[in-house]
Amino acid sequence: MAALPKRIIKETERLIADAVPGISARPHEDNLRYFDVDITGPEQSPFEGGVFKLELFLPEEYPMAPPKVRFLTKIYHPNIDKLGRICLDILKDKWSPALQIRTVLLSIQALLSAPNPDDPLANDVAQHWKDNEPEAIAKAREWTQKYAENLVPPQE
Amino acid sequence: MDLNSVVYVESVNSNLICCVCQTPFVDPVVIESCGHTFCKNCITQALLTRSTCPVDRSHISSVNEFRPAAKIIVNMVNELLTYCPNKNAGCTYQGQRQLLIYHLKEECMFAKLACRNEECGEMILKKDLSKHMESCKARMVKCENCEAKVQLSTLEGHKFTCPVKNIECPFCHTTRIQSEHTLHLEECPEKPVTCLHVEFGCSWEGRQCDLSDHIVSCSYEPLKGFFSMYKQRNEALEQENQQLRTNIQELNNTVDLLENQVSAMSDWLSNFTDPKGLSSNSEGQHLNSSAHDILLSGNDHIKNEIENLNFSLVDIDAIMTENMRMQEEIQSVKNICHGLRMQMHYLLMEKRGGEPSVGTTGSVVRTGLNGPIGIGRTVPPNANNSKSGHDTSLESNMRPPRSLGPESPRQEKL
Repeated sequence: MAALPKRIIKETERLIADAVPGISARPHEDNLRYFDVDITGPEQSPFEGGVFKLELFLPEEYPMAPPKVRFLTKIYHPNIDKLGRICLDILKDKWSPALQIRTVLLSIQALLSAPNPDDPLANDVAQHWKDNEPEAIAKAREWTQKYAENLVPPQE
Repeated sequence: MDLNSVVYVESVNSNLICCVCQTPFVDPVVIESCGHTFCKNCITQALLTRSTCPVDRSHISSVNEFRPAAKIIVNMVNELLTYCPNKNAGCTYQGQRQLLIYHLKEECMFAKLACRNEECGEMILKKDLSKHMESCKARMVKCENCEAKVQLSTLEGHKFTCPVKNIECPFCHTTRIQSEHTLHLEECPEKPVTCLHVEFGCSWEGRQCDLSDHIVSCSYEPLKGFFSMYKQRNEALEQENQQLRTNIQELNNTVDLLENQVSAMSDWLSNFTDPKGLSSNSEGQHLNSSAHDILLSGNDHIKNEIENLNFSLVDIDAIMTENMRMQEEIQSVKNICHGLRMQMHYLLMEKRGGEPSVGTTGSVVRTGLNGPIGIGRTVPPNANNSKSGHDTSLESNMRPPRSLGPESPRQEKL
């Protein structure tokens, strides 16, 4: 494995030293490109009170290619499918090398606050969201309680 | 070197940080269309995957490329204070980033350089390089035996195949080169030695390394001063003895020579009779002093003999004188006898009636008539010594009267 680029080292140091509120990211000891991420559900969202686990991997091309991020905790969200894949433009075609792990995770946190059923990944959830938003939000809150609330909230 | 990995002394203004590499700009360039600044290397890399500005995603056409950033930006990043990349190795340098390359190339003693020996391949700190070159395993060294240049790592192997023979110590069985062997033989701890006092009688034998221990306990050690003193004396006496032997030998030679001379001399002397010996004595004065002494003693001896002979001569003279006198007496007795015979003859003639034939003699007889009484001594020296005994019968008749004198046997001889 090639030496870790200076940028990844700096990002990791800053993620730990200057953590974003509601987000924690820790690299694996045996693979510094692989991060365990916990994101706290944003206030005034159906995900409030839950802590969602994600995995983040920095590919060899990073920062020229985007990191690969996936939800490990089940979540009821129109832009996140059953496998945890996230529908987020910056993780795809809108990726820019000027973006960082921190900004990616902030974007994901924002996505929890503002689901976008017009650009769905999970079509059934998006449809549910469009047809009966209060019911969908209730179900999301239910899933949060069911799958995300047993987790210890990340340290801020 | 990679300036993106340098460590800065102070925190850097975020406006000078490239958003791609997250470090202060290196060789900054500006995108013409949007005005965003990046490291030249970073934007080049980014544009390979996506032709948009990493910051605002504005499209960057191939014709609309980037230009160098403003001088002020370049200066600001170039003058940022940095640590030397070898800080962890011990370099304490701090300086402007633009001077860092010069520092690393020329100044930094903690820069790693490849060892100049190709086989070595080690990377050595510049400050240690000269020391390393002296001890580098791959450096060339000269074989002490055969003078060939050999790489140090192969020197041990070379020593076994070195054309100059390695010599094994007979005591400790280690091998070494010729030049060290002689010295080692003296110093080898396994070398068998005898006690230092072996000449005085210590019978200890052992390894050289044990000698010092033995000396401490050697019973001859305290006496060594005494021994050495007597050894010196003994040597002096032996020397003197030798000197004396030489002297004796010389003297013997001299004596032999002299004996030869003396025997030759005595042989020569034996050719001479005593009188000549006297003269030879005077002639022999040319001989050396010792021969002269011997001759002198011989001379003395001869003198003594001559003296004895002289005495004998005197005796003989005396005897001759006596003899002469005796002859005279005998002559006179003869004369008397003759006279008496004549008288007898005359008387006989008378008695027969014949005339005496010799008248002249009668007178002599008469004078000699008284002769027998004087026993011849009074006989005159001119008395006729006529032949006696021409009438033996008469003579035998006359014997009784003759026996009267003590010299009668002589008379017969005469």
